[in-house]
Amino acid sequence: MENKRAVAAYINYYLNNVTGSIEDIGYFSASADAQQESFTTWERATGLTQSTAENLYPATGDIVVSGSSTVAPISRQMAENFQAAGGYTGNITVESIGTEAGFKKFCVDRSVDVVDASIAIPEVYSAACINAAMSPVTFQIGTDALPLVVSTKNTFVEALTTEQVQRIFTKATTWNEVDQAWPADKIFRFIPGAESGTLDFFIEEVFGTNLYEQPVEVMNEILAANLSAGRMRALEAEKPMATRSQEEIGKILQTEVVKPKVVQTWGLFESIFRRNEVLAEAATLPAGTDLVFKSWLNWNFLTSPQSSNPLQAGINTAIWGSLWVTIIAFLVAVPIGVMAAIYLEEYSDGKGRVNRIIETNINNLAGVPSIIYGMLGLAVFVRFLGEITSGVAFGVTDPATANGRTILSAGLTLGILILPLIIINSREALRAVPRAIREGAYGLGATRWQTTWSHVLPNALPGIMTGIILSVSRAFGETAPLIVVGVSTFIVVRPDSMFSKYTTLPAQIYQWTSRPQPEFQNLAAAAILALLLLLLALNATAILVRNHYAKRV
Amino acid sequence: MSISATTTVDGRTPAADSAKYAISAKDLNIFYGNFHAVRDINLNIERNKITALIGPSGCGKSTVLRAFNRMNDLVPIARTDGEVLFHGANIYAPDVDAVEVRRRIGMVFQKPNPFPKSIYDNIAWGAKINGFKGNMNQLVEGSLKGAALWDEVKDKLKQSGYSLSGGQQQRLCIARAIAVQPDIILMDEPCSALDPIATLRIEDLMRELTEHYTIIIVTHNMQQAARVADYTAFFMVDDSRTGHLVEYGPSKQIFTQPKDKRTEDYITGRFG
Repeated sequence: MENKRAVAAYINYYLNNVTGSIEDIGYFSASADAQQESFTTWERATGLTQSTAENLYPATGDIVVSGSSTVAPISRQMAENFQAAGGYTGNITVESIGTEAGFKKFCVDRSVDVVDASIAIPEVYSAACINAAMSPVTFQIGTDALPLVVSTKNTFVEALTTEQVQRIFTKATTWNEVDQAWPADKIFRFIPGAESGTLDFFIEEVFGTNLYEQPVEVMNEILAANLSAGRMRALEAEKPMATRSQEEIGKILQTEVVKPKVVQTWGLFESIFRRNEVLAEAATLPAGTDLVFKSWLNWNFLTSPQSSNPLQAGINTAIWGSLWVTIIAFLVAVPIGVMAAIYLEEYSDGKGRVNRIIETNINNLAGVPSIIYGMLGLAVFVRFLGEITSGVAFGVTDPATANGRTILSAGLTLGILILPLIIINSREALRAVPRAIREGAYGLGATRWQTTWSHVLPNALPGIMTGIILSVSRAFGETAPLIVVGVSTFIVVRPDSMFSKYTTLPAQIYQWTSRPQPEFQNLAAAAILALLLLLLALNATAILVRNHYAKRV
Repeated sequence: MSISATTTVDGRTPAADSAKYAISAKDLNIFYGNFHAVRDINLNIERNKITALIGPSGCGKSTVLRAFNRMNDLVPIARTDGEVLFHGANIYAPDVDAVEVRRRIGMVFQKPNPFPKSIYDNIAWGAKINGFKGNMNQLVEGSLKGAALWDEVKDKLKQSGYSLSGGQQQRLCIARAIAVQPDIILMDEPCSALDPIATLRIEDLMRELTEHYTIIIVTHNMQQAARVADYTAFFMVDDSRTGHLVEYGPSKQIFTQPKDKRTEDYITGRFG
């Protein structure tokens, strides 16, 4: 403003004369305090006082005013009077395009001099202004009230509750739907245009700020108005609407009606350290775009099934799949692995040919790439033992899993994969048990098994458990063999038995990272975090259990 | 079990000896792989006496001791030839269960090795696995009294065996051994990890134990052998590092009038 004398003069004229005209147009003057504050702001911004304001004249140059349709009539009136008052030559244009659009022109396009605003400057635009090294100042020129007006021909509406107003502007088509005592005449509504800040204000006042915090009835009405009857019946059949919570209905509203889309995303670093640049960029996006600071890793993400819409997608099915597969791998590998280690350490003398072959094989197997285990699993568990792993042999008749690509196959494959690790780690732990403890037991006439069970195993347990923890973590994070034995890439149903189709967290992450849309890569990042946290939690629990046992002896 | 009919060192028939001796070694040879560890041991251990096995390091005395309850079986490369007669039967006969042998012939080791369990469980475990059906509390108390440990631990039976001092731990191991009620207790340098006072207590205890048990002890400490042992066996190594028995007899005679020059050299401290 300091650069444009005409604008300064216009504002000064505006502030001095607006009180005379504003009530003719239909608004109220600002309070005396607000007026005084406006003058002070003007003086600070221009470096002038009211007495030196004369120095601005004669003023020249065009002035462009843009923004709120509510404020425009006053601005037009003031522009007219200003030009008529003399001392200024030039054109003043007053556009009526809505407050936000006005701010956009002001801060982003920088094509206007003054914004007429009916709301305070939104954060995206103030940031965009700051980013453009502009420091906008605000003058309050008046205040208004928002009346609801009923036609003079309407004789029955005397007073309305907020609820009735909500109904008038949502579901009701005739007056008797609002109040049974009223006639069944059609309601004709007149509302400000969608770009109007006044409409925003009206919606906020009548419906509250957040769509998803509306009363259940309101949301249900919105749903009914926007969804087909068939879809409503389907939702009703899934779970009666009357029994759904506000949160659940809000979720449906979001997925079925609002259908938000991700237009652009910024990373955490940018969001925190380059906030203004992000806000400026967001300001250039099409109208109707909201800038939301959103963590991809949230409760919804953990509890929702997979979805093709990145905003709805979650990892619930993947978590369950991972747990199922890992538990089966654990149940298969731990008993066999520990028993094999006991045999090799405590019973086998290491002399026999067979024992030597077994030992060599176990050591080699621990180094075999995991994809090879996937091939083994495919050949043995999926193909050869398909009857058993699909559950057909036990009367399970699900055509989707009849090919043997079930949790059981995956669990067995991973079990075989971690078996050598468990054997090797357990043998180390058994070997570390002092000889003196074994001799002490044998010296009392204990058998091998009594010695092993009562003394060697309890002493080796912490070490064995360390090996198990490492191995199970490996199984939990394994992807390649599962892809070979047929992990599903997209399932939305939580697995409920070992003969179910499944997906696992790593497989889910792999699938998401291979999608081109950046949102899915954000999802993958969130899933990776979830995987790490889950692994940490599992390991921490296991370590606590182990330490508990270690302390007892 | 069969009774072997070979002759003993002093020419008497084994059938008559078997009742007299607690345990006897006959032409005992032990190998570790290709290494001949001890050769041609013939040794008759007297009942309810303390017999000490002495000799320089590596002379095979511990190996012989461990042959008496088949502990060498636990070393995969060890091989034993000859016989060890216990109640007239060879404990190395194919039909003999090593576990049963070790139940009858208990062992106390060089380093105290209580189980990482409570004092009570240390005693009770051996009895339990051997099918003891009586009053366990009485057995534990009796065994601890027998090992002269009861007064020190009676108030903390639930505490870990590791909470005891070294000497107490060793007496706990002795209590553990006598809880199984063996005939013979083998002790492999039981005092080498203990201080002199704890050592004296163990020695006193050993003398008390001879009332019910035969004790064979391996020791490096000649004073200890002279103090506690009724009989002493002196072992030596030959040029190929194979251990063998040089002289065996009552301790008094071994330490005052050794028959063999090597024994004399050893006990007078000229080598070893």
